[in-house]
Amino acid sequence: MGVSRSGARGALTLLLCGVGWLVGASAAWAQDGVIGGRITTLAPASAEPLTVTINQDVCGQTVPDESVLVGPDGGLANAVITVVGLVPVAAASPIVVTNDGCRFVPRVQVSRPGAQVDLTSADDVLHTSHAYAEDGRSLFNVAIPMAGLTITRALTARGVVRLVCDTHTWMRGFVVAAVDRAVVSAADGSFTIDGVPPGTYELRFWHERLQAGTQTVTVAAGGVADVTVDMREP
Amino acid sequence: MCASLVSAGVPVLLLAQVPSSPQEMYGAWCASCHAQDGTGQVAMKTITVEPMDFTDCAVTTPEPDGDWELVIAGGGPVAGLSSQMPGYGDALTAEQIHALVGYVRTFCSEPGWPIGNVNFSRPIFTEKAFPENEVVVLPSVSHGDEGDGASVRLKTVYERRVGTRGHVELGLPLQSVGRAGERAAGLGDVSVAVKYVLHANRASTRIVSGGFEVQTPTGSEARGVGGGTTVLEPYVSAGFAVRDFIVQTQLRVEVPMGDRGGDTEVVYLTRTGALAAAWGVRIPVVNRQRQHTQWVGYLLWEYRDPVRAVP
Repeated sequence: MGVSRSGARGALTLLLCGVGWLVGASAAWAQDGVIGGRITTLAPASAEPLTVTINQDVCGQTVPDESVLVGPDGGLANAVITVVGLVPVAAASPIVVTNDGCRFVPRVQVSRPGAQVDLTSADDVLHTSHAYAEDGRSLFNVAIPMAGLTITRALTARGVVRLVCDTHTWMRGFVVAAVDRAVVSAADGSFTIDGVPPGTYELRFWHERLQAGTQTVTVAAGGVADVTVDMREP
Repeated sequence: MCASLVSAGVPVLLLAQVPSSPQEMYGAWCASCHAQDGTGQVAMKTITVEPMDFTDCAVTTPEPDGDWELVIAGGGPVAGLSSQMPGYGDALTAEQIHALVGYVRTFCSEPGWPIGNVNFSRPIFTEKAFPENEVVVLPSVSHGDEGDGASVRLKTVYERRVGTRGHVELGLPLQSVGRAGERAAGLGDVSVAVKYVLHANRASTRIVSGGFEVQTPTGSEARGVGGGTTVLEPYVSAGFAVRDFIVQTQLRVEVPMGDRGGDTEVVYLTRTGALAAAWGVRIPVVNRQRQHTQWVGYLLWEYRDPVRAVP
């Protein structure tokens, strides 16, 4: 079985186009820089567990207080870092919030206004996922009365959307519906935002209990801008 | 908006673990806020609003099942209630929600209360059979004789339930009447009435009430804003639901104590009074996604009485 001359020429053209695209893409990546760093705090971590007042058979007697999670070297988890004016690189994919052990998991996520949120439960008990906008408006309140059920809603607000369970009053979750690029700090307080075109940007920081002022950072072509931010009690 | 029982990493609940009877569903999913006994009084409150007391028959009987099902499925805000009442519509089937409503109805243990399923929409002219706690404003406009101006009447009716089946009401009409180029306005004939539900069947498909209304001559007959005599009006009202159709009817007798004309509520299209029409519009103020503007009306032809006198 042979290959015709015209077929071989077509294949060569496709190959050259593929190589050209790869070169162009890598050149674009070479231009972009990275904003990275750590969020730290001197505030004490939440130490006392929260007393469970209902459904102890499922939730246990206590649940950990996750409002301020601080690593061994002062790294602060669950802080949100937003790069003002930097457009997200891809369309928002659905996020999942799981009622697990009578806690919202993950506790803090970032998404986009209008994006889909899948609410589910691993607990065999009635949970409600009640979302509030920053101005106190109730966005939705869905009952998830059984484990394994997934209910989908849209984030119809921008900014910090607060999730509470009206059955288990200690449960808190947050989804930051950001128009700009945003990430959540890891357990050690670190964060990385890549694919940042060269330029000067304003960074904003949010945490459910702590706060910090904005910072300005300059990203060089192909460079890494290192940022360390200390968040404090208001 | 959707829901599924399958998701990666989350075990699917065994069906045996899901409460099946209405009582079990209520205990598992409603009692933490509404209390096991339906009173809304729980030892450990988890919500900030005061839940309804389902044992209060005056609260739990007047609305139809559909309204309760709407709230359970869509949450409190669909009916103007608290957002702390979550929506179960993605989690439960319509049959489960209907069964829950049936169970909630059982908390009203006092017999005799008619269920809201026969609380049919208020007809334009016939008196509805279901007792109500409400204030109704009834505007009406009708033409007068040649040379006279239009008559405008705004009647406000205050209605109040009494006991399980009783109802009293007070009607205050304000009238403006054109007569021979001049216009008179003032309070018309005030009416008082009582109504009692004679029959409401368990299947919630029919209701019959008897009532008695007295119109008192508080208006000025000389100025055209009153009848000048007391009028007694016994009546029977009935409502029937047949599949998707609702029929409401009324038999009313007017007994004037003196010389007086009759009916003043209908807009007569002909001088003989044999042809009448009524129309109106219902404009929803809240929940406009689910409710739509409705135009209602009727055309009435009194075919046995073509020469009826103009009132």
